[in-house]
Amino acid sequence: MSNAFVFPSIHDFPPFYTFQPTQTTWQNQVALWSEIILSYYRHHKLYRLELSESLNSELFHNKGINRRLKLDTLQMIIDEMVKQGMAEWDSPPKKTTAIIYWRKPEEWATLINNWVFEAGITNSILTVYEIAHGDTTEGLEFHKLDQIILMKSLDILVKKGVAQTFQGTSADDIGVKFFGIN
Amino acid sequence: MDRFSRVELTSTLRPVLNEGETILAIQDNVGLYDGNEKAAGYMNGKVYLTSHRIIYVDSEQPNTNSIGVEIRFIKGREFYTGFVKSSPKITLKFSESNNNNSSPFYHQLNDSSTSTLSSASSTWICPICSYSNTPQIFKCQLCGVKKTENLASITPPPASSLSNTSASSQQQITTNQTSPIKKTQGDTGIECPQCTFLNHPDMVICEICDAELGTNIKINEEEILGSRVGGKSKDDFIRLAFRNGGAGTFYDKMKQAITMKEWEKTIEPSKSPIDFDPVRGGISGIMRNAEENKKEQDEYLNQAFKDLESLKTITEKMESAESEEVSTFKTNLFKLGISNPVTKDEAGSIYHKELARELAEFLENTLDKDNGMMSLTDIYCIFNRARGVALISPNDLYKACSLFERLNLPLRLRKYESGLLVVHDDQIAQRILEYIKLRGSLSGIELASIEQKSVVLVNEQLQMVEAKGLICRDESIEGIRYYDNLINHFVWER
Repeated sequence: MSNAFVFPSIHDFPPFYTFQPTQTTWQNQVALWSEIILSYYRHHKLYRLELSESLNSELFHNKGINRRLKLDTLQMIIDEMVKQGMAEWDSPPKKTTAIIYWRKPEEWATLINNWVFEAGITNSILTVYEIAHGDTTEGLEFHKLDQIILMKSLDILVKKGVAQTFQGTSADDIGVKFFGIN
Repeated sequence: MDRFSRVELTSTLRPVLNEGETILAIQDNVGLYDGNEKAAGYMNGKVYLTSHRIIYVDSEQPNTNSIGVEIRFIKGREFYTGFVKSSPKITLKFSESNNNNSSPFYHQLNDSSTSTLSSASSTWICPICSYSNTPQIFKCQLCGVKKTENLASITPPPASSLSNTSASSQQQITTNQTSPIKKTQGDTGIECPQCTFLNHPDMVICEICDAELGTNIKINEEEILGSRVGGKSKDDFIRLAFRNGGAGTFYDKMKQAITMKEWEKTIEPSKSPIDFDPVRGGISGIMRNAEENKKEQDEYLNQAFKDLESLKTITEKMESAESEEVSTFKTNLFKLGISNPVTKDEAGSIYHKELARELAEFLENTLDKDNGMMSLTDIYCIFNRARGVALISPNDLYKACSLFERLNLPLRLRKYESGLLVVHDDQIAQRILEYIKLRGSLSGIELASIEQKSVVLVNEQLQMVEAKGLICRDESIEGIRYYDNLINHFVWER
C-alpha cells in the first residue's frame, strides 16, 4: 500500500452499499462499483479479488459511515463485470475468487511483445518466471503480473503466431520463444 | 373553413362547453378536408358533436389546432359511405352570405352583389373550350376544366344593373370592368420552366413538354393553408373523414342536432347559489349555526314533553329542521355534479378515454380533501353520485382509471399488495422528494408521521417513487431509509 487511493464521494453514500431493486438505479450502481474496483486495483496493482476476504477491505467496507457491501451484492457486481469482459471468475461455477482485468489480456500481450522488441531478446527462450519476476522486467507494468493473466496473454501471442511455448517441469518453468514479429 | 373559430380546452383536453350545450357524439381518428383538399395540421383528431357545435380537437397539437364551427351555419350536408381505401366522409356546406362578410377578396370582386347573384343563374362559359355550361355544374361538360371563381365577372352583367343610372351603379360598372382586366393581367399564363411555353393558368402540366408547372399553385396553397382559421377558403364546404368508422351514427346525430335547433332555445339563467356571507362563513359560522339549531331543537323538545298535544304540532317543525339538513347535503352533492356526463352512446369506441378525462376533471377538486388519494370504491360511489344519471359500471371505472397514465393525466391508479385499488395524484412523488431534500434521508415511519397516513400505505408510495428511480434505499440494521438518488446522476471525475 504505497499511497492511499482516493475514493469518489459516492463511496460515502449509504445507499451505495445496498442492492437497489430499481433496474436503472441498479445498472448505474453496478457501473459505478466496477469503475471504482478497476481504478482501485489499477492503483494498487492488484489482480485477484477474494470476495469474502475483500469485503473487509477499505474498498467494500466504509468504516466512516459504517456500511459494508453484502457478499451476494458483490457477486452480482462481479457477474456484471464478467459479462462486460472486465473480470473473470477464477474457477467457475464457484464464485469465490475473481480476476480483475483492469487491463485486458490482449493489452498485456502487446505490452509484453513490445518489451521483447525493445529489449532485443527475440528468438531467445525466456521462462514465464523471468517475464513476471525477472530482474530485467523490474519497474515495468507487467512485472509481478498474475500467473493466470500472463498465461492468457502468452496464449494470445501463440495463437497470433508471434511466440511459441515449451512445456517445462512446473508452471514457472514454461519457456517462451518470441519470433520478433509484431 | 372560415367559419371556424378556436375552441378553448379544459386541462384534460376536452372542449369547454357553453351553457346549455351538451355533447351528443364523439369520434376519434377524424381528419378535416377544406373543400377537396386535406387540411394540413388537422388530419387526425377527435370530433365532438354537441347540441350547438361541431368541434375538432387535434390529437397532436390540441392546444393550437382545435377548432369548432356552429351547427347553425351548416346549410347542407352530404354523406359518403366510403369505398375501398377512401374512408367514409361527411360533407358540411355553409351558406353563401356569410362567406362574403368574412372574405375581403370577395368584397373587392363582388362589390355589386346584385349582379353576381343574378349572374349566378345564367350560364358560364368555359375559358378553355368556350362551351356554355349550366351554373349547377362546376366542371365544364365538354372538356372537364374546373369553373373558376372569378368567372362570374366574365359573364355580362344583366340589364337591370346596367340600366341603373345612379352614381353608385356607375362605380359598380367601373369596378366590374377593372376586375376582369386585373384578372387577365394575372392570368397571362404560367411560363413553363422547361420550354417557356405560356400555359393557361389552370394547367398543372405544360401542354407542350409535360413539365410540371407546380410552383405558382403551391404558393397559392400555402397562402390558403396559412390563413386556415378565420381566413378565406376556395370552397364553401368542409369534409370530415372518419378513418375509424362511426360516421353513420355521427351523421344521424348531426341530423338530429340540426333539426333540434338547440341554439334557438333561450337559456334559462341558472339559479346562482345562495350568496356567501363572510361574517357567517367559515368554521365559526358552521359552529354557530349548529349551536343555534341545537338550542332550537332543545326548546322544541322541552315544550314537546310538557304537552302531548303540542307535540303533534311541533313534530312537524322538527321534521322540517331535519329535512333542511338533508337538503343542504343534497345541494353539496349537487355542487359536485357533472353537467355533461359522458355516455357509451355518444362516445362509442373512445368511451373509456373520455370517461377517464371526465373523471380526472372531477377528481381534481375532490382528491385534495382526501390527501391526494382515494380508494376506487369510494370514487365509484361519489362519481356515480355526481353523475346522477347515466351511471357507470365498476368495470368501466376501472378501465378508465387504468388509462390515466397513457392519457398523461395527473392521476394514477395503483394496486397495492393487499389488492386495494387506489387513485392518487401525481404530486406525492414531488412531496417525498422535497421531504428528502430537507432531511437528507427519510424512513417510512417518518414519512407516515409527516403525511398522517398509515405506514403500510406510505411504504407503498415510497416504493412507487423508488421504482421511478427518483430515490434509492439504504438497508441497515436500523431499517430501510430512502435517499435522493445520487447514484443515477453521479459522474466520477478523476
